[in-house]
Amino acid sequence: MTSGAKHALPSVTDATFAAEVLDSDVPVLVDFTAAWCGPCRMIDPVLAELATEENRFRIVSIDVDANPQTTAAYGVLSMPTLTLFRGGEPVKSLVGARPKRRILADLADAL
Amino acid sequence: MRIGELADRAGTTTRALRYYESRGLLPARRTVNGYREYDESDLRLLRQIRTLQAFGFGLEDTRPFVECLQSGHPAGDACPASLAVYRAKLAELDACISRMQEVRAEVAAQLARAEVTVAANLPGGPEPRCDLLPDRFPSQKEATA
Repeated sequence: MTSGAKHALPSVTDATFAAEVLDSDVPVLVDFTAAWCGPCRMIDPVLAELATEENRFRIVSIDVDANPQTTAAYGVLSMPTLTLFRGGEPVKSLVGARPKRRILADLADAL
Repeated sequence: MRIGELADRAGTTTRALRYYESRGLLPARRTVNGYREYDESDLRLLRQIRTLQAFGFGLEDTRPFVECLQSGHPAGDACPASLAVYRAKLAELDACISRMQEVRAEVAAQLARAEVTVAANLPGGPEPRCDLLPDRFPSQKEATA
């Protein structure tokens, strides 16, 4: 068995969000997360595993506590929130932890 | 003192003492009528053996410590051979801890995956999430205002 938990997601910040996400050539799934949030820790290995398998989009994480501007700009009120950005715009948001299969199914119409 | 008294004072059994003797760790003198005879220095050796065994050292690991005491050193770990045993034990413990940490990380990852699956399969239940409370995150109100 391979463990995705060993490979942390790349993280972005308020300062790098525009360059890393908004100006990205490929769609980016942003994981709004918090260190104190249990369900976020539950979904971390799922996203890390997904990141190694997906070539349709990149996955990055952003810590809501350390990056209030981006968090507020997209109205994120719960974690984990997974928002897919394409061409600088949010096109789909999923709120709450769920298994990989459900993440892909819930994102399907936006991919 | 006789073997029974020594065993009692060191918290072990006469059987263990006869075994240590057979391994050459704790040789006994004999009285004229053939009984094993021990003194306080034997008690000291025995306590050294028992202390090390309580830490998880094997019986053979205790030999350098016993020999160190027998050769007149004030402590069982005053000799280079005893230090080598300590070092080998530390390396063994480090390897063991490292293996356990890998296993722990693996189990934690499995649990996290399973928790997501279980939570998502609860019929009609919401996906697990944490809400951002305004008092927890005061800068958000300013940023949205």
